[in-house]
Amino acid sequence: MQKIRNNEIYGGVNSEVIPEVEPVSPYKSTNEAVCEKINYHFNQGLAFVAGVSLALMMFLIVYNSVVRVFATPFVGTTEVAGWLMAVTTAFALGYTQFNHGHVDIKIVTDKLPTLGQKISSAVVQVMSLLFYAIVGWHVVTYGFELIINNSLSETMGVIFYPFVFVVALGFFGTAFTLIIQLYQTLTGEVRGGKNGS
Amino acid sequence: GCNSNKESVEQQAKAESNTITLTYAFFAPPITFPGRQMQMWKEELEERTNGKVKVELYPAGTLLQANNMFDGVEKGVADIGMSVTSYEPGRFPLMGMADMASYPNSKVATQVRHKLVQEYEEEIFKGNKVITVFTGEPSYIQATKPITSLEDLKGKQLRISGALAPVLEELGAAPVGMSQAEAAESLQMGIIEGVVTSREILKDFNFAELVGYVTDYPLSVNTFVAIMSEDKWNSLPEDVQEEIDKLSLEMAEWTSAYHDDYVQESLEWSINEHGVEVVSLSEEEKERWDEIIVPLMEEYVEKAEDQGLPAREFKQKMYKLIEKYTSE
Amino acid sequence: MDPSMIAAAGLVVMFLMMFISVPISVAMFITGMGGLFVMSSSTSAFYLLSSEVWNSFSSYSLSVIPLYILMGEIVFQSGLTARLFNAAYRWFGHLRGGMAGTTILASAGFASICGSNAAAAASMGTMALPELKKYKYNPALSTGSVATGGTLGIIIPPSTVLIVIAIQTQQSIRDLFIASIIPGILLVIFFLLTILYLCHRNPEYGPPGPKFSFKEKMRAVYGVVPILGLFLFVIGGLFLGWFTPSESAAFGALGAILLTLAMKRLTKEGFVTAVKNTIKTSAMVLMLIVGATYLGRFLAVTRLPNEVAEWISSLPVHSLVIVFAILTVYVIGGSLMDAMGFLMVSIPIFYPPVIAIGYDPVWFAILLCIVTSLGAITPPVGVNAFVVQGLTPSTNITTIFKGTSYFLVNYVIFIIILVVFPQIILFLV
Ligand code: NA
Ligand code: NA
Repeated sequence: MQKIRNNEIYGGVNSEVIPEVEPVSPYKSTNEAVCEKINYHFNQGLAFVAGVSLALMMFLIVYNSVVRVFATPFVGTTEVAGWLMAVTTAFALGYTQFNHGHVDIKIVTDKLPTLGQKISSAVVQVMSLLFYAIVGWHVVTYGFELIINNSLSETMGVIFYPFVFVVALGFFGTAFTLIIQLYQTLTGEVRGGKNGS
Repeated sequence: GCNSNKESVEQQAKAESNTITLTYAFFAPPITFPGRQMQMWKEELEERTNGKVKVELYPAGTLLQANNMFDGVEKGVADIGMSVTSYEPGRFPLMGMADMASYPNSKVATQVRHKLVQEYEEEIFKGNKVITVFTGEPSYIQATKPITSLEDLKGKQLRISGALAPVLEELGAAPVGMSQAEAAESLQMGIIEGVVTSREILKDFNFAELVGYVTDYPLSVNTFVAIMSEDKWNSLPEDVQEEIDKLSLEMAEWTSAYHDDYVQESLEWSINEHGVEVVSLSEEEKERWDEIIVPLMEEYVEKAEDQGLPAREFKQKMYKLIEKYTSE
Repeated sequence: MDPSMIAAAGLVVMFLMMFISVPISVAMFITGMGGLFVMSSSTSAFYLLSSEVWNSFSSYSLSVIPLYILMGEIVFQSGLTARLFNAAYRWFGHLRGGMAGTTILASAGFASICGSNAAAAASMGTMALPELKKYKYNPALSTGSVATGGTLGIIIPPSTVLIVIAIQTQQSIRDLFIASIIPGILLVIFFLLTILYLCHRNPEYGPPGPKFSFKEKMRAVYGVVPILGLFLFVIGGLFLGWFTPSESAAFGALGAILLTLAMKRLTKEGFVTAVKNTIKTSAMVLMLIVGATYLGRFLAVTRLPNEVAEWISSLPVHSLVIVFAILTVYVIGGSLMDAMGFLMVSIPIFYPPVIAIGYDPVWFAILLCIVTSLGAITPPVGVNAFVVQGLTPSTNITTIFKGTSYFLVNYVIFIIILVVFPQIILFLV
């Protein structure tokens, strides 16, 4: 097991905790360093939006519960907070994937030889990649159906499909992250650990 | 022994493969009145088709929830799905108008609804087969303090569901959108000051312990519709279709009668056991409230007409039907 | 094929996927999707997939999860946890085994504002492990105390596990939080007694530390006041009805930020790390929730839960035997895979039958929470043990599991007591 930075362990409930790595080494070819760099910055960007959305959600809920003591509260609080929640979670997906934050069980694959680990990593990445792309695609379809049905939100009666497309974007972003991770698994010398899952 | 046993198993399997299984989804628990309707429908249909049809129930959102029910049925997740039309605002503008009108009870509202749906099934449900349609009783303001005037209502934080938000806002209240489960807790803790919904919850969810006053002014009703996709409907043999059609009005009548009785029982129980008081509006006050709500209906009609729906005609028929069934 | 057989086959495939290290959430999704393909059609499988994803992602009631996580993160990143340790240390460090007891008490304190077990173990371990080493505590006992103390994170409210159980089983978060307080306190007492007993039998396990004057003790207590205040405000406010769970969580997160800013303990880096860790953990938990919900839809269509329920209630044994059997399944499941993941997978299968045979939902939820936290310290997959090993790479993982095994007996006895005397859980609710 590798040395872990405290602040990194804290976040995960993972069975294995891997620190966020700056886009430098352990890759020999520049090609891979570029990949890692793209992936890193892409997900940092998404994470930033997720963080801002989380903060907005916090302020909205606090604001509303203070206001309701003195005056009329904002009727759409639960709806808007829900949409902010959707942005937060969807944009955090890719960041979580990049940092291997989704829980998995490594007790079997850890015992495999290098090649075996590489193959299992690739298989898992292909499955995950297909999964995220399929979800993204069908969430888009779902959004279009909301448009066709004239669906409005329950309390405020406004359109909300743009947020559905935002969620789809989060899933596509994760699929993109997985494409790069898969490429790294197939071409790189680094196996298991960093490239796994 | 061994052989005949096997044969009988095979026979049984054959008989089972001939039975038609229909899955029926609903978002609320089986103890609610639409939930009981669902159970009743299952038993009736199974009996009347002599076991040819078997109905599997998925209440309490185990398969589909309020906001994906109707689409879920179209996509074949369940064969039948029951939901409330106002939970998807914008989608059923004509139903929205029907919900906003004033009815004395569930019986009248259900009869009106049934006739309207018969006539406008295509415009409203776009090819889906309506299995049954009924309404709850109107929503009433049930609050911790007596509300007998617009002044009392001003700024009151009341939990609403469905499309009631604009109505309550116009009346000056502060509608709060939250789930039924959250509502009970929030009421208990004083986060909200009341709820606006049908009155069986006084007993079903023990709201009688939490609210003291019911304002006797009927607001919007909720329309419950159970639909089946056209393909599924066409795949059913004629005799089964016939039984389902016969059950449609029967079930609607049974449900509204059951519901009206139950609401009365719930109300009496709340008054006797928990000292809940029913307060009424004075005649002038009632007029003030009506004056605010009536123009809202006009807005609805305009909007629906803009979408190319026969809203004006629909409205006229609706008021005629209300008059007819109220006087019956 | 018989629907129950399809369900069973689906579950087998799912566990196979999990053991080739497919993320648990993805494995649940793929199983649900494949199962719904077979049971109905691809159209309905895909429609349910997209609508469930949207419904859960945009769920207001789930917003409590990131907000409570953020509160704990902020407090940890600003280093306030050191004060908890310091306070407990000054009062109890001089006793035999006192430093291990200090770890447990400080963990309990941190658990009152932190909702995850790995988080509690990590933050307390950073503080406690060097101290325990300095005083030459037995390595198994020290690492075991840190890992076990961390389990309090999800037993004492706030708790992500209780929130998830509440949402999946349509119960009140507040009720579950209230019900978990007394079991949490009792468990702390059990842990302390175990340490006392161990160090009584083997004095070299936990040598006493220095004594502190009363004044020094009180000064340390003063340092804990901010954290205690935050807990009282957030969880107390929830219990007293000042706010709903989501509001309590939002106030907790904002309160933690303002408090640590006012104390000049929150750096920009600390804040950014806290937010990043929060969104990462939340996305992971959310994917587990939606995956389990979706899997649950497939299982519902096969009617497996109904059949399991019927089968269980027809068994000619006392219903307590059934409860113990189910809890045993959880212990085994939690030992083999991530405990939270197993919880999500299994709720749709085991929760309905237990309620159908007449047990109290609150009681069963608390038991599930405790069994889940136990899973974090049992080999071979024990999250907290791994976290502790990450903090002290020189310690062998078997040593850590030896340390946690001291406390396993407590857990087993405690669970039996809760099953036999459900009032312990229920009387506050
Ligand atoms: Na906690
Ligand atoms: Na374990």
